Amino acid sequence: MASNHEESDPAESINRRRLLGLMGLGGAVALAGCSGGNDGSGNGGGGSTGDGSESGGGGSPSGEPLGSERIGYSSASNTVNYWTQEDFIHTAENTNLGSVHEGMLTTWAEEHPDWKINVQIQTNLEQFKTKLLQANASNNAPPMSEVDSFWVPQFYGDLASVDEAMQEYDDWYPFVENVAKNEGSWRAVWQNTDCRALYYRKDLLDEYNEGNPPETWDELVDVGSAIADGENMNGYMYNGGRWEATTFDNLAHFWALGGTLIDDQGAPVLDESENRSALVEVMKWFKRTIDSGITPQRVANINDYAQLREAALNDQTAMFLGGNWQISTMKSMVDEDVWSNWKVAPIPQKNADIAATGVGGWTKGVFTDDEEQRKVAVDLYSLFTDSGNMAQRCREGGFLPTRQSVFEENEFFSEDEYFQVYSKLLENGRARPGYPIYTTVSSEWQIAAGEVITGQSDPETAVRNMINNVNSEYDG
Amino acid sequence: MSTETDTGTKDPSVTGTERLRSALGRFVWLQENPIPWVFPAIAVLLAFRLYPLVEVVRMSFTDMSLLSDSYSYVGIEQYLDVLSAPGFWTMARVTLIFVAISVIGQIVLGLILAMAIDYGVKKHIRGSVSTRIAVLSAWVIPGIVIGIIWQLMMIEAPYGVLNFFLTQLGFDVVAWLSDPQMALLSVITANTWRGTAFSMIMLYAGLQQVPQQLYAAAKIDGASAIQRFRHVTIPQIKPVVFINLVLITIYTLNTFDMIISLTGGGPGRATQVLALFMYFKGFQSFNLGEAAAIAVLMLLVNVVMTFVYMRFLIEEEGI
Repeated sequence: MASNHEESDPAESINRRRLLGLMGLGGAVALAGCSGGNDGSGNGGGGSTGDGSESGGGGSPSGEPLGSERIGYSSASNTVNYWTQEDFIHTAENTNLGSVHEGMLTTWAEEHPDWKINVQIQTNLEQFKTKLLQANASNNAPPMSEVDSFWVPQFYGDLASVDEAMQEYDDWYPFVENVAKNEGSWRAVWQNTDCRALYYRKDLLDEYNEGNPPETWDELVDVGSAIADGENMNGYMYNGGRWEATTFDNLAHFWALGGTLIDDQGAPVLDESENRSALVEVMKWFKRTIDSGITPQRVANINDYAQLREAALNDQTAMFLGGNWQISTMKSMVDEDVWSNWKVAPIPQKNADIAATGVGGWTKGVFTDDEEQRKVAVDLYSLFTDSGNMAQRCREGGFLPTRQSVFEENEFFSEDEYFQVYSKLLENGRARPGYPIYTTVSSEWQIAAGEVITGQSDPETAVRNMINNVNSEYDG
Repeated sequence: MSTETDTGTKDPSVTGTERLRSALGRFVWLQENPIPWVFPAIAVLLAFRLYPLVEVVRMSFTDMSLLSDSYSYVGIEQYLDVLSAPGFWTMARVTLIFVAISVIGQIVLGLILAMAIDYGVKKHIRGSVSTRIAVLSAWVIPGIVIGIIWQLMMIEAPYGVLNFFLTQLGFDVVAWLSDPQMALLSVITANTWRGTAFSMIMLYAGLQQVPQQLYAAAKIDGASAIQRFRHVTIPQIKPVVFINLVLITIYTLNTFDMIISLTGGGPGRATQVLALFMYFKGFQSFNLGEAAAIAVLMLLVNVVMTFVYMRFLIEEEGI
């Protein structure tokens, strides 16, 4: 009963209160129903969507196509959960990147008015891995999730096919197929990558090596020694502390020498003669960098790429082994005449005719047997493999494309000297083996490297201990 | 006025006085029975202390892993694996050195600071409060941040804070963190810096409990400052020293956050303590059973150390 009086009728007020109470109860029940979707089962049913809007039950979409933690219209009747990172959605801190995603995700939302994706942003990447492992072990993984590229083999048995998003193209770098394809089916969408390269000061290499970056260890030692003597600075630096990059960056040497860490069954194979000798060679290389004076012992405590960048920008080193993203960081920190003096080249190897670099980056996977959910997920993932979208995302995010055609056909990449070097490097890209024992291999590699760099062990002893420790852990 | 009956209706025959008496009776019962009062504390302790402890011990007898949702009981296998793990005894040695020197450093520096502040307060010297705040700030900073702060200070280049001053004074750059022995010393120094504040507060509180008449009497007897410290101060604050020792030993033995950000346990295994080993087992190798076994072994070390401290500081004196 409508009333214009300031004091309302008590009877009406009670009725209204009851009505509100009933609505609240109804809302709570509906929310409880929706929350069932949080277990990853997908279908959230009708009713409230948790953001205050009513479901449309398959009618025309209402509201915005994207929410702060939602992809798709709030009115959509079906929900699917998605574990991702901020960098891969429209709310990315990098607003240019976020805008690119906004366009892509809106397209998906408009094509799927009955579906919405409940986004659960993962911030701590180490915990993310643990969380995904735990969830998967208890058959409770989200239907959609980011998967670090080197975990993919660990989830082969649980990842659904994403063929539609990947098989449309044939210009993937070889490493993508090696990792993301299993038993003839694509298991993950490798949306972008990164790689390791030799960074060098052009002015110094011009002066000491006729502008040519070193291609072999011998050349690196020669030119590094000359610069160290002539400029009172370090010739070459790399990650040598107790962290993953010490293994990952330097694995390029091991792989280029033909070494294999783990076989297809997930067993460590370091004690096979070829692998053992490759490992000894790499440890001898560490020792040589220190003994020759081109590298300071302090690399044994470098556990952050920023320390390499600081050394570079403070005239402490003429060359370093770094990641492709570091040049864009330099660009944002120093004037053009400083950063543009830093160039990139393939990682020097024992011989000039061998090459390798470590590649990383994130993939997208589907952890569900529900065909409908798989299809909507793959539809979304397909937007990330489209060359135009990939180029825009990589340009704004500082990532490297995983499709060769993007490097060749998009001007931003084809006309950039840095990207052209990275493109060549990616042809010999290798991902880390995604098996549980790798964490032990990596940890033992870091220990062995540290002991060799600081003179606690000779290369042979360090390798012997490393192999024994890895095998001991694997055998239990 | 009415009181509710068994059927939920009010009994008009019960008077207000009777109800008041009944309420008072319940209040007296509550006052005289400790269980309702301590129950919340007991419940919290059971849920958040005892249950996790029992669970860790149980886990240590299993092959539980983050990579699998099933597990089985394997007896003492995890303990045997831990004790025979590569580098275990090296880590045990590093842990012993780290804990022993850190604890001694924290107690000695904490006592010196506590006495200095106590003296300052008694003599109304300005700055006592700000000194306490400055020292305490080290204690409230998270370990990870402390590790990063010290790492920045110890960068082994001329632009590192400590090395900058050393080179300005004409010394060479010191390998604070890449030399194995120096790295362990650096980690101990950072941990001592972090923990000294806690010892200072504990010991300062202890010093406030020492009767001033004892000092006056000792002075009259001709005792020197050192003799007063040895024969008055130390015996009087022994219980506090005991509690302090137990707590800082536990804290130091369990420290891994600061080390992981300062050295990561390197170079090699030069600064890898058992707590860090446990972390790596649990969250890098995902081997929860073995990580739990390390935790139980560390708990046993803590218990043994507590008994040792009791033996030397409490029982011997009959306190």
